[in-house]
Amino acid sequence: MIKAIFYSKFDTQEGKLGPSSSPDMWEVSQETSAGPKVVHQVPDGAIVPSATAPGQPLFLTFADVSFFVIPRQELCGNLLQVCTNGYRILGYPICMKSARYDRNEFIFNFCLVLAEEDDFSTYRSVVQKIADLMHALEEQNGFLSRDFSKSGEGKVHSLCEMLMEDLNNYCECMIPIDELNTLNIKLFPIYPSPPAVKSWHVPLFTVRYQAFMDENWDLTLQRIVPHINGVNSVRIISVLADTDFSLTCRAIRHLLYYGCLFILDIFSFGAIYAPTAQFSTTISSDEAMQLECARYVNTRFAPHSPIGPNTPLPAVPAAGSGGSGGGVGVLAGSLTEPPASLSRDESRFDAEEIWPLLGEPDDSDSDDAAKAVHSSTSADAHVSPPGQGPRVVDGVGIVELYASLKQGQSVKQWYSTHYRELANIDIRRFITFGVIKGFLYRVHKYACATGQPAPPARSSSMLQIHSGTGPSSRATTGNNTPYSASSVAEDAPISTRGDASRERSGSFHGGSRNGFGNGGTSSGLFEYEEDEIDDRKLSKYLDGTHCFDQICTELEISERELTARLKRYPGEVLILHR
Amino acid sequence: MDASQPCNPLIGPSRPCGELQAAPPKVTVANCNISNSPPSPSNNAMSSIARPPDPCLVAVILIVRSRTGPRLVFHYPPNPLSENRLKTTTKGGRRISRTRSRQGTRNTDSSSSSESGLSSDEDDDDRERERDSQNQNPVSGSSHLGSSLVPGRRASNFGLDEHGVISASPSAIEPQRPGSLGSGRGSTRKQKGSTLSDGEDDGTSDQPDGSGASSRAPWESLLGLPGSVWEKLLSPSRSWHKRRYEVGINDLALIGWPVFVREDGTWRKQRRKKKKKPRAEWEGGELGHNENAEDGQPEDVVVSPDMGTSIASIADSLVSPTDTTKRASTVSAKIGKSVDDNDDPEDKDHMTMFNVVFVMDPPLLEYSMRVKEIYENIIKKFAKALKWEQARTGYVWKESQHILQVRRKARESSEFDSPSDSQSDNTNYRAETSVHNLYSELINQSSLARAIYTVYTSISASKIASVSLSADVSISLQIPPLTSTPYLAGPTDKAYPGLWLTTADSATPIDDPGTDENNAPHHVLAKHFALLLLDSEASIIKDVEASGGTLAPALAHYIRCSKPTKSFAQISAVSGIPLHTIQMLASHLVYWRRARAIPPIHQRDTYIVSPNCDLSKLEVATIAYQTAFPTLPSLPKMLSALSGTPRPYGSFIPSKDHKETYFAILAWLLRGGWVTQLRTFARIRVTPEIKMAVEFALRKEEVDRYLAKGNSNSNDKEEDDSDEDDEAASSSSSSLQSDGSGDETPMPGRNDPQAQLRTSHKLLDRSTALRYSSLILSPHRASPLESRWLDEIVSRFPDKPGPGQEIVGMSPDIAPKDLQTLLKNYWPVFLKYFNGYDALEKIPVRENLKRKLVWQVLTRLGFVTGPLGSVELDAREQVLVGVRHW
Repeated sequence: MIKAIFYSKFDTQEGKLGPSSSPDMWEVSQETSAGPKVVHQVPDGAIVPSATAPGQPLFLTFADVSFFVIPRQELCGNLLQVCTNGYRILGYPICMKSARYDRNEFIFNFCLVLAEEDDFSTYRSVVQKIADLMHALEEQNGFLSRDFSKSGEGKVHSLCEMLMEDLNNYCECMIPIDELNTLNIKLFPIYPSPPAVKSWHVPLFTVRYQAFMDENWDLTLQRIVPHINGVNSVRIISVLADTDFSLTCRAIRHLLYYGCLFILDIFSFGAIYAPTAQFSTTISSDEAMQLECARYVNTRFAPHSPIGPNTPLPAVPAAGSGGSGGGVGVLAGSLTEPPASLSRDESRFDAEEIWPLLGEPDDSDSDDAAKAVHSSTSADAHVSPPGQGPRVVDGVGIVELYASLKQGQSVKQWYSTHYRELANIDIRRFITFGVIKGFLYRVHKYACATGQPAPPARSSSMLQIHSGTGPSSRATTGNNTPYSASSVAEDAPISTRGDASRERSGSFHGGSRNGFGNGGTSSGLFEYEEDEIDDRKLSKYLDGTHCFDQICTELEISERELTARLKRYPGEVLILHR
Repeated sequence: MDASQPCNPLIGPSRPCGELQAAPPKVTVANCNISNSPPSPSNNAMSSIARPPDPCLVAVILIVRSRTGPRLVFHYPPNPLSENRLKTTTKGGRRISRTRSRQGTRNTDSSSSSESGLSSDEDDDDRERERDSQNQNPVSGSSHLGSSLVPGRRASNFGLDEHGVISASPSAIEPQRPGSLGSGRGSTRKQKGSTLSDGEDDGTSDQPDGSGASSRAPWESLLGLPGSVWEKLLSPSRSWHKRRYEVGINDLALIGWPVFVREDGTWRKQRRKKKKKPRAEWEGGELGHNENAEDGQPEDVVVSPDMGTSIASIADSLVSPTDTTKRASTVSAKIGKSVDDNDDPEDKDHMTMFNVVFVMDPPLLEYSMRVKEIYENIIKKFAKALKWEQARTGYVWKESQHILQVRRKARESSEFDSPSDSQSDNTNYRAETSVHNLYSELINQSSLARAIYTVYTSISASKIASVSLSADVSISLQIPPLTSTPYLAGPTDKAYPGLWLTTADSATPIDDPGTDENNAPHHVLAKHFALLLLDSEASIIKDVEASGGTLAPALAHYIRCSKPTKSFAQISAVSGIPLHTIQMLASHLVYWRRARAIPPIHQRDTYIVSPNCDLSKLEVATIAYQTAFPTLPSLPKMLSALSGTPRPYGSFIPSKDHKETYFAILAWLLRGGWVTQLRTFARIRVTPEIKMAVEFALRKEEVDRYLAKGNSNSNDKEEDDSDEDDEAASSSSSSLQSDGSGDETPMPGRNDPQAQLRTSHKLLDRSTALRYSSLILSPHRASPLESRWLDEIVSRFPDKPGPGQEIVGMSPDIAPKDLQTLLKNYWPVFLKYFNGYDALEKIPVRENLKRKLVWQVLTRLGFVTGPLGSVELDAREQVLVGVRHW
């Protein structure tokens, strides 16, 4: 918010301000000496006392800052600011030299006055822009030096007035000055620089790009946006859109800057997710968010069925994402529309239907058994006793599902424990929702070659030895080593890219454990792969700073293949989860 | 179309990014390379948590004003924003990467490239160009914009921060800008010439000590402007007396705290002539000051542990060729005499103002935060210390005169031996060496120059600046680092890898819900925390003892007693040091970056690899770890082991003999931010059954009351009903009635009353809520209805194992029956922790209970940390919804 604008110049004439200025406007000291003068001020009397606005309190003492408003020549042409009395003055003094001026120079400054604590970053360029324009105008026709109008009158004054009013009210202005010049200013918020976009990032729109895209857009952008769906990684997007990879990154970064995108990770059933510290403040205590989540993940509202007036379906090409892809519009809708609209627009009955239904229990499962086996299921089993309508995963049920995600447990393992609750829940969306809201994080895997020779047994042997003293409760899991957790990978992150034979090879690898040697396997498949990825290439990724998503994306292999390949790596490779 | 358009239709994502952004920025961080601490083996490990310093400090300037006018007395570094500074002050930190990214920007690099790269493509599409120009103005006459306005270091924002104005009207002519002053290093260098020559015209004549205007000594201009400009700019009017004086030039912010002489010519109000008073007004200095020499109040004065700071070492490290130093000092000795001889007009002159101005180039988006940080922590305190010394001994003026004297001398000599015809290379070289000599001389001779030098070098490296103004007065300054964060940065957030990720904040009241010390001052550490030393015990004790100081023995004693496995309270009980003293000593160590307050390490607690750990340091840290624990599994092995399904740390300890060592490993890992504790949080779930039972009980009470009242005014009943119902719900927080309803709870017949109740229209309205579970957010502030629910829950805890539920795998220690009673006994104790914010790990520490017992109770309550094995749990007790995070 601009508090005041004033135009100041170095007055070379002593005793008077100009032919038409009325002396009673100025305090005596200003009249009599050459020096910085405030010519116009908006609001009147804010900077120097004004006879026309005696009631206006002064914002500041001009004498305190005059050295800075009209500074020494060396400082002209720089953006200057000073804080005084709770105000911040931004100015851009201009010094013009010409024989037509008294003393051969003309120094002026259009200053903005803001509250000291306000963010001034957006106004910096405003000040500069005004200075540039005035400089040009003065050069063209002496716009300023020939302006002899009284303070509070004339073109320059009305310019200041309009500028302040428009910027404060509309954040932009278009002020015609003469037939050639117009002052166009728009205030833009300043966002932090977006991070570098990596090939394994998965962008997801927060807005419906169809609403604002048009044919004038950058060509790369136009081509990539249809492939941004929360499933495809940047690399796949560039492949699908047939665009240059670095241009794709740049375009996505651009969208990121404007907050049109989230960056997600590559979802796969082998991935691990766990709650963050935001859990208690968000999903666990926010019932509106639970509703929002239910609406987003419930397969009943999947994109192919009508879901309400607020979220018309976008025509998204399903980009190899299976049944769960292409839900961009729905996400945008449900994330940006307040869930309150649900209860407003739809009847209570509909609101109840938001909760995903529980799956049918297994044939053999009686209710009691279900309770006993899945202790966390018990809540849901209680949701409505038999005979009271469908049983659902309610808000607390959703919280429990999220809470049961943990380190060391892949989505697949999690699903197998909770398949009943998840029967009508889109798992990818369920995870994505948590990541977007910030109460879930992806536990990335990193490989680290220690330089030691490969151990004869599994690399986690030490762990198992130690675990002998651990609590006995561990006995049943058997999946707590990094290796086993990562070997359950199912989806190749780059499945649309990888060729079919390699895809199929996944199951082969998963089933069989190979020796650690490099060659000598009888399978042609392995030879083929080893041609692709030699140890040297692989070893670059084994310093613990490259996550599996990155390695898989850049080497174009699936996580399962990578895990298998790492086991054949000559030397010990440890896997870290972070 | 301009690309800014997209932001208009945006409705902000509802992700709580406000919090996310609010929290991390306060960063200059856990830099544990404590200045001047002797290198110790663990220092390598320390470096793994030191984060790139970024106080954005460019220079420190001292301006004094006397009757003869303002003088730029001293500034450090000699050539701010020049490339050699880059070399000296950054150690592969962010600055370098910044500059690199700037170059990357120019070079159109792949993923780190900027939008300007987009526009520089061969693509001649006008529209695209327009779009780009509106974003960033890279095309239309932006060459000067880019150089003078978009600062180099922020070019990593790829100019997007210059968003304000944009579409220039086509007719607007870009004026020729005079050489402008910016923080962009490239631009400064480029334009320095022009500005300098501008200044040459009139600048030097004003120079008070400029006798020969033609050859100005190289140190008399700063940032491309002649000293006289700075003198004018930085000596404000008296209205800024003891206030923040903030001016900005392009991207540079200049902040000072000017001090003016009082009307009576003194520098301090002459209240009681007690010498000790002024110290009291140094707020904030209480931890930093170490006026050990003349101080008589042992209790109040706290010695900074790194007071051992030897100035000699600073001076040594500064000047590379030692012979220059010696020469300089001998020269200075002569000068010292000549000061007296010279009958200056300055002798009778008096200083009327001094202003220590800190020049910064903060990123635009962090401007106010950075400025505030350095102003509050450094500028104000430093200036206050100077003011105090000035009042006491006329220190600032004396030192200023001394500095000016040395400068004058150096100027004369440089004039003397610089012939006018020499080649430019030669003069440059000579200029450089003369500047170098001058500065080493100044820093050697003047304690004020040395103080400014120390402040600049330490603070710009995010270290602690230990400054001694005189034999009597020294002060330690720092920008307190961020030590922990609960927020894990996402891919789009600014990340501070290596920062301790935790919700365990030793200072916030929420961590101490049970105690009354909540309103205690911020720096009092919660008594249930433990102290984790950030350096080896020996080296810290060495530093402490070297510093002398009244607190040193107490500190050393405490450090020897302290263990990361024992809370302050426990240490107090064991060692006999009063808890208050321990908290004071500990917070002192924490404040001065020697230690960190953590929840006590325990083998039953669970630790995971911190998602925020800095894997890029893995290699270095592995070596350091190897040195510290040569015979044990390597760091990657350890991290890999901690990577699986979380389990108590004790399960990693092979045998009892290894316990101490493994705790040491854990401490090491925690110190470096490699691991973090996985803490457990829980809330109570209220099932529909409970809700219905309570609802039914409430209805019943109502009916009973109604019947008791008689049916006199039965007509009004319908309306009263609703009101009464609410009142009943809100008034009956006591558990009196719950017993009655609890009796009714049992099994199947309960459906019938429910069916009846359903007919009530009142209940139908609520039925939606009643049909679903909900969580009680804060049990210790439960609403009346929630209290009823809680009572109902408790009443349902089975007195004995339910029928058909065999207790098979219960721990042999406690018989199942005991556990049932335990559950009821401890429920009220535990209840307040079930709020989702208090870690359940606190319960044993705070309530002084056995962990095993606590976890058994919690397990019965539904918090299942691992697979249950054969343990069958009673569903009626499974009331907790637990979640684990850091």
